[in-house]
Amino acid sequence: MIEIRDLELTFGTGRHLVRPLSDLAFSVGKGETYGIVGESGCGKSSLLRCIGGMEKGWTGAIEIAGQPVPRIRRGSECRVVQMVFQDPYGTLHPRHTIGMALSEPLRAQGMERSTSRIADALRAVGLNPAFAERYPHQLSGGQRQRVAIARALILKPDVVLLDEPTSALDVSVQAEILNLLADLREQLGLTYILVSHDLAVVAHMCGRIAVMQSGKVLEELSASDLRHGRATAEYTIELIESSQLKTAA
Amino acid sequence: MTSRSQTLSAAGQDSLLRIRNLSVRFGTSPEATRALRNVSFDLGREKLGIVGESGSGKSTLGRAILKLLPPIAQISADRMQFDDMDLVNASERNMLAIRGSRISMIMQDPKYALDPTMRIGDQVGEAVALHLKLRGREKRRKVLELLESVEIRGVERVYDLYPHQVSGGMGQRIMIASTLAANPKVIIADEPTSALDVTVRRKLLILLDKLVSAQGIGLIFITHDLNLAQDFCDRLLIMYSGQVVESLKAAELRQARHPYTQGLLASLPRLDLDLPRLPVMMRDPAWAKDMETAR
Repeated sequence: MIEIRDLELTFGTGRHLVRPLSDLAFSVGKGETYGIVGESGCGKSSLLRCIGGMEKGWTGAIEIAGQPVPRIRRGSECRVVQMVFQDPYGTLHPRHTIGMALSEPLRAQGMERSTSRIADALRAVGLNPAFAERYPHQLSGGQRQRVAIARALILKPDVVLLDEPTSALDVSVQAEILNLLADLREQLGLTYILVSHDLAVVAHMCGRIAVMQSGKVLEELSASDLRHGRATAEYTIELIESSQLKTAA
Repeated sequence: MTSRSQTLSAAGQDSLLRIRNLSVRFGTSPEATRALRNVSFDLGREKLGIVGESGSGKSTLGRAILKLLPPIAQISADRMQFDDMDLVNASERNMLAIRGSRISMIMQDPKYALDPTMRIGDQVGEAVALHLKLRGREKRRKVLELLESVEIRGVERVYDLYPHQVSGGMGQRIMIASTLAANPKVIIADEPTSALDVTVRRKLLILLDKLVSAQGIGLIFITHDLNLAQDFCDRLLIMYSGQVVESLKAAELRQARHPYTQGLLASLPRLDLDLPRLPVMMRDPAWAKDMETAR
């Protein structure tokens, strides 16, 4: 479903040149959830922004559903990839009702904006259609993240990019959202790329996991490799140890 | 609730902090939010974890001890004793003498807690000047010593940096350094590592552990992360809607008896357990009812 080869991203020129991503290559099959882990600044979010069409300065090749993706996308080319961000408080316009937030992508894509369509989108993520009348501040964090997922899915994308979708949520709400994402993937045949710093979340959701460090994929693991600590790179081993804590040294 | 009364004073003889039936409400009307309800515990020279989800009152608890809540908050307690001081009736002037020098606080995010326009050395120096009354060269020497004690390398260089020039982990070390300036007896750490990467987090926790045990400090560690609390703390208080629903030894977290604690543990994805779906917690309204009060 997703094929990435020799992806490189640079900002600036000459002395000020920085290269957040280099030599990236991986592929994700249809219906798969591909995990990406790494520390702040390793390029996880930059990678998602390249795939999602929010960066233009990349070189290499990104293919989605067999089609090479151009660096600058037209409106209709944006529909297939949608994104869910970390902070449900920051991604919804505070003065727009939920219904308005959900009709915005439909308007941008020139699709039909009926109330029934919005009601269906809300029902799909387990919310009452009456939520369309509400404003974001009237919703809890978990409900907002459901709205953000509904907004991504309303365009019927093939690929959903999840950038730390549950880091801002309580564990009990995190469980609900992760279950919802897994159900939707099954029902709609979606392909996910999930970025998270929480190895347990990634192992739970993903089949394969890429460990990134300074803009490169250091190694690729299966979920069971990760669970049993079967990593080869020193950095991955440190990462696994750190997230299992054991501070009492 | 036998487990509760047993572990209430697990610290035993030398408690630094003794709190009985601490309640906080915001506003005076009958519908006012009761952010804390009859919270009781003792803190010894130990690491006490306060665990709960958003809105459970854990941060309010940390702030209530230092009386750092907005004026609208009504604080009441049968007893709130620190050393030989009564915090319930302490005046603002007395609180000023306690805050920072006897009981210190470490905030979650160094990005907001450090003044962006001040050099690191001057910021830590402010605490040194205030609490230790040091000036000039002596102040500088003390600041460098503090920065060294939190394992910052190249302290001379760091002294002249601004907060935006240091990483999150370094920022949190600097926060700890200024907290330690006055040799506090109690440190309240409110989610000190939530903004940090896991590898940085581990180093910081090891450092905090070392400092706390070396100086016999009582640490109140506020966190939403159960795994972290279990691993780092000696004893845990589990909070739900303003009450302590369970109090237990950290090592015994997996044997928790309260359904809320059990539900939290179950909903956590685990590396050592492969489940097709995560169990979702069903909240019982009875958990939010008032519990018996401790004497």
